[in-house]
Amino acid sequence: MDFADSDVDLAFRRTVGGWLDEALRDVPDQEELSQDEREHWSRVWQDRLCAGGWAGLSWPVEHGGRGLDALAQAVFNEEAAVRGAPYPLNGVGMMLAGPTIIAHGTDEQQARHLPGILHGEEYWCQGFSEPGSGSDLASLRTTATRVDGGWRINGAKIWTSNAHNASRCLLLARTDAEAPKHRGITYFLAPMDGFTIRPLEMINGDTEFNEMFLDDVFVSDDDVLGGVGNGWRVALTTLAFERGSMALNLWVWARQAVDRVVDLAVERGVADDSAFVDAVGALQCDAEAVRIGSMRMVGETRAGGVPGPETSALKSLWAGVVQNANRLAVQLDEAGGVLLDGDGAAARMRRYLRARAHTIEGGTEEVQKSILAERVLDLPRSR
Amino acid sequence: MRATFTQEQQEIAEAVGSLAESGKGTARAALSGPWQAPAGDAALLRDFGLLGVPEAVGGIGSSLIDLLVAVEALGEHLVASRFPAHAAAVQLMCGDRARSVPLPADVLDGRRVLTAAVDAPGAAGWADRVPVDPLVRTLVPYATQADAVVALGPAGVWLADPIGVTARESVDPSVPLSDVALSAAEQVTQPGAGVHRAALVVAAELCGVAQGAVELAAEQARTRRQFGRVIGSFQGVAFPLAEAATARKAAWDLTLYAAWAVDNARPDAEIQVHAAKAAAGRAAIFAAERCIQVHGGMGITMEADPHLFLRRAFVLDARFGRGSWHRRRVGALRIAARRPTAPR
Repeated sequence: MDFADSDVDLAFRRTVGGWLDEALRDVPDQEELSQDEREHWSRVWQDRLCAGGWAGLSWPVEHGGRGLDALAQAVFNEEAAVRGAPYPLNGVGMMLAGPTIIAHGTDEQQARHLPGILHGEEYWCQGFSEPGSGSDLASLRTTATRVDGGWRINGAKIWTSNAHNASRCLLLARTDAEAPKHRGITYFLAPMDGFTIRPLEMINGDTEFNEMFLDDVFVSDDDVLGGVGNGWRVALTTLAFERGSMALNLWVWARQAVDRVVDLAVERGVADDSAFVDAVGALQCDAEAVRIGSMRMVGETRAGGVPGPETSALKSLWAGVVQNANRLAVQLDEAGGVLLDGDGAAARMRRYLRARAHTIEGGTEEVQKSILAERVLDLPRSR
Repeated sequence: MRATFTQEQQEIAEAVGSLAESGKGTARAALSGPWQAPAGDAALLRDFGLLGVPEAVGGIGSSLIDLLVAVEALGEHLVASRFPAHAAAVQLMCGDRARSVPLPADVLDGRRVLTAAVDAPGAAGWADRVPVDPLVRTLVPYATQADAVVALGPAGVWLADPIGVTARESVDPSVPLSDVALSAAEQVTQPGAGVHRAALVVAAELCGVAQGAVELAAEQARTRRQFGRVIGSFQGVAFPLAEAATARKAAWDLTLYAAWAVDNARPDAEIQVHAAKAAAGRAAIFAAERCIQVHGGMGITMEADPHLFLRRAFVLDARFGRGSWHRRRVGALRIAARRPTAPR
């Protein structure tokens, strides 16, 4: 077992790192910015990625990509995260929509959408979750009814990032109410004319997610991806690309959360407190376990395997580290974090409250544990 | 990066795993009688003694991970073999990079069985503080069943003849523990990474114990029925086991990486070793406690096996520096690395 990067990997990292260092020179630390400012930098960053030819990193050359393997995108995202880069505003387009259309789309669909994504002209969002369908995604109730030349769609979607910037939506809707729940779903590449978008205010005041309401929205037959009734399978492809592209980001975010709380304690002169030292020890163990576990996952994938249920353990560990580190940071404040007018206190509280989402988004903590129980421990389904 | 087990490592795990199967049961037998060498004890000492021994000291280029894979398999089955203690003692002698003299042949082929003496009475960790009596060590496993002791002191590592062995009452009778009085060192070698290498042997066994406890608990959760269903279908039963499996995986990943870091003299080797030992102890104790819980009433009887895992977990967590001490070392090193004066 060897954890050292190969020469080829190192060379790729150096190329990526060199470009990132240059491209990020004038980009401020995103953690300290307001949401509007972050969104501004997300857009700037997206344009730089497109101009630099880094969109479509893992897309085949014939589709205008760089033709690298799926891991290349994960490594690029990792190197970007290490440097605190903004999240690209069309991440959904580059990393989810593009690869899914390449995997399941017709020639016409590929020709229609891929160039716009590569050139930063067509922005996408993801319309999967619904108010009544979170963890149990396949129970979704948005309906698509057959009409002349296409489908009429009605329903509501939720937790949509960047809906207000997007012109296209990866949309799941039920086209067959009679079929078993996983079989009656169709995947649409929906234009967003006629969508009503309402921002959701989160507990930290940010509005990074939206609700979307669809009342008699028309989507043409040309925009069905992967065949009518085949939407669940196509959606799993998208989710796999989502997990894969972010596979090496979790450990970076965990380490950065620990860095921040340690730096704060050092600055305040309280880093020698024995309870603090103990807490940092525990955080560091878990944060490193995420990093090493991610390397092993990549190793398995490269050896021809598929990432196993152990990825649920990594997600769970990551969420725990970030939540606990952020709570610790808030509680280092003199007043236990409750006076938001203190120096940097509001930003710390904002991050802490945001971190509460980590055990909910991307598969709740309970879902992760169910996956581990069923697939690692071979216990019966408990849900 | 190829962070996967080699073919050879998979074969080691398999071979030791089947030896371990035959040595199973000795942990229980020791509850009612003196420790007896399990089946496979001699074969392990004889045939696996070169695992993890660097070439410079007489090895055949086997990596430390090779050894840990073997020890983990023994821990999983609670095999009460002297092999892990012997291997840790050998590793303790392997750290001096300047050393060019091979280890004695009778040590490497298991004719001369060693044990490591590292923990000092009243100290939570190695080099924590100078022991009250620099020539007394505690928590020494199999001291009366070993031929010699490898001791760690502030000045270094030395092969010592115990001048007095006081048997203590071990919470895990299959791992007899003693206080050992040592003769002063005639020749001390630099500890180098030896203590790190040896601590990882203990961490690996803890990871095995955690794995064995998780498996036993899952088996119970799959088969025991109450309220008309197997209890593993209740989330209140299943989720703590998922947590135990997560902690076990984290500890094993940390242990493997630490071994690679030590073998390759990486700058972060020290903190990784502390992290591995801390996480492995915590994972093993947690898994064993959950194992008891999932067994319900039977879990608190001597008759059922879960307590055997807890006993072994406690002994290993306490040895080679307490788990809590290792965790604080991780915290202290992490904080030190972020101080403005420290190189980033």
